[in-house]
Amino acid sequence: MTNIIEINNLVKRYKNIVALDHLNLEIKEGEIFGLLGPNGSGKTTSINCILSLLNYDKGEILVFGKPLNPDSYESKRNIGVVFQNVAVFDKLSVYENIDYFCGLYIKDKKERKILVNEAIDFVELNEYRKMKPKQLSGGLLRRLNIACGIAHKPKLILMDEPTVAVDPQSRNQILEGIKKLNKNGSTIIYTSHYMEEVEQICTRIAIIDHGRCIALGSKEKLKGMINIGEKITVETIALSDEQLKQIKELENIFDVNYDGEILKIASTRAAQNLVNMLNYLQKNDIQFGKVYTELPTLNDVFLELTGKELRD
Amino acid sequence: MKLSLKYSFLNTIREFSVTFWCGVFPLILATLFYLSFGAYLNNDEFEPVNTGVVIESSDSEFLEVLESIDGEYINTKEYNLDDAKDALGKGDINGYYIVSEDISLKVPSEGVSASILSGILSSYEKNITLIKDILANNPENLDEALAAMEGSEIGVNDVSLSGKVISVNNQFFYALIAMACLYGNFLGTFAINNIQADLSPLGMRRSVTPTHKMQVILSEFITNVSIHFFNLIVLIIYIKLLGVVLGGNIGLILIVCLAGAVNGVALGMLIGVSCKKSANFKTGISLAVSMSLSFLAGLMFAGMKGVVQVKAPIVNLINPAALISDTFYSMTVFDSMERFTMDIAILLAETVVMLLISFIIVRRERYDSI
Repeated sequence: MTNIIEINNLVKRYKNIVALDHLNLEIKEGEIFGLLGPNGSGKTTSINCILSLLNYDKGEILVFGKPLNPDSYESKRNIGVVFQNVAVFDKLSVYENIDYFCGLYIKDKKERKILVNEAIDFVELNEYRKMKPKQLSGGLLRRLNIACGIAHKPKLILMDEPTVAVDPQSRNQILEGIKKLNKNGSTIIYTSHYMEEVEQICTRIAIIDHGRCIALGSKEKLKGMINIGEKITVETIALSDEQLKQIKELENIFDVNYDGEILKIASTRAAQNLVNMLNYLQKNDIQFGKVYTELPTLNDVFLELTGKELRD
Repeated sequence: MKLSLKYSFLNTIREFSVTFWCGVFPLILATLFYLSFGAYLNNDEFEPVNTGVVIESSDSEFLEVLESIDGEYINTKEYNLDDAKDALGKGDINGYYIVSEDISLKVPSEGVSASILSGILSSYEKNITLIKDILANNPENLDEALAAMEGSEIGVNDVSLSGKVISVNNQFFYALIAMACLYGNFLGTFAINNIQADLSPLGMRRSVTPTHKMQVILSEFITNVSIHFFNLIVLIIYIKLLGVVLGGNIGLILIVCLAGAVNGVALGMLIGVSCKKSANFKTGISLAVSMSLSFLAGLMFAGMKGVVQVKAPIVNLINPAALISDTFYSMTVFDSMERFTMDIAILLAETVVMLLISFIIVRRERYDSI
């Protein structure tokens, strides 16, 4: 697969703050590429540098194999952007907004009309097409924001946290829509600090912190980078210190937390972890309620790599 | 381009604040001006000034002067000193002269009436001094000098070489039209706020589209000039309905409005692209610039333009408000089109320069932060 975007050794400083610290990324055609990181990690700065909106101090960015400048109109024709902040005209209706932005890419009137209607269908705003942005709810406004960015069916779509402040129903619709766009041939770069979203839709993920890419790969590959293989949670009361010590000494278990009601165990990757745990509880006549296991999440990956929660 | 024009137009005319400041506010100001000095708008509506005369010495030549202009510029009535004070206090008279060996004038405050009475007295004193001087040095020329004085008139008008006159108060309206033209800079700044990526998300989105920046600026410019040109035509019609003499034919007035509109919008665009502050800050700058230029052109004080002409004539030569105001003045007063043409040419040249600078700044713009 060819690279749609190549970022080499990118450095961006805001006065004394290093926003991007020698960032290297390659985004391949056909991917849904996730940029995952907490607020202030450099996701939006990366996007703005790619779009040549921001000056950067060092490094190189190639889009479709060429540097993208403010007047690279041919390359820009194949790019769609969904910004973090809603970027529409307040005084134009839903239809007028989409028609205007689509018209900046597509000159043919008939073709544009078809594309605008398809975009309205895609974000399910048909019954709101005559409404002004101020009359729309937060979720509908986000959908309009997306429609304005993708109506011209670009080859590359950059989405910068498009689901911020969106209700769960709208969020699911948006995520499903992104998958559909990808199926229709668009390469997508998706930034978010919601790991669930990134896990749900992205084929490859870069975890960014302090402007550096600290991990890169598919979600399976990222999860394989850490020690946690399984998390076991047990509802139980009155465990003694001695019992906790014995649990910690069980095979494959490397971390135990207990708050008097909930026992949380982190274990390495192995087939018998849960069975071993239940055997120990029964053997020692320890009463317990619910028991459940979880596979590691990207948050666990982030936690292990950086020592802090993703939403810090 | 057509699509950009259409939606830029719709977006702008639906924006209440822009419509108010550029369309409605000048109309309100024109109404206030009319209510303030509507009676003095045109010279043919001049009313004689009610004047008291306190005679303490009846052999003064000044009494003859007053008698000669009584009913034309002033209406005189004789009082004793106390009654004159009372009459002035009640507003029955606008001022009174005390005629003794020296002539003195009492007026309550400055104003048109006070200026007229003061002008009469100073003219008389100047003539007396002149006569005394002629008697002392050239007595043989006295008859000729008196004949010349007899022919001279006391007036409050500016009189041009072509003999056309213009009321000082009309100049307030000319400055108002100039100010309204410059208010086009709100439109220009508003447009730039929606183009520049560091000012609005909308600017970011437009910056990443494959549309040539010149096209974006031009479509915004054409839209806003059209809207503002319409605003100005409405203002001109309204001012004409108020009875203000604007001079010139309708074609020339439309040329002034168009030149003023393009200059005002281009000025706003230049402010928008060159000032690296927030949108609200830029709006404040636009207001300050238009008010300052209008002040220098005589919006708040009619004599200001003259003061600037004496102290720093270059300012009047480049100040768009002064140039716009001057086009109306020259249309009214002068037969020749030379001054009018020069004013319009400078306005248009400034517009081209401002647009080019705006385009150069915006064309390849990347930002240090957004």
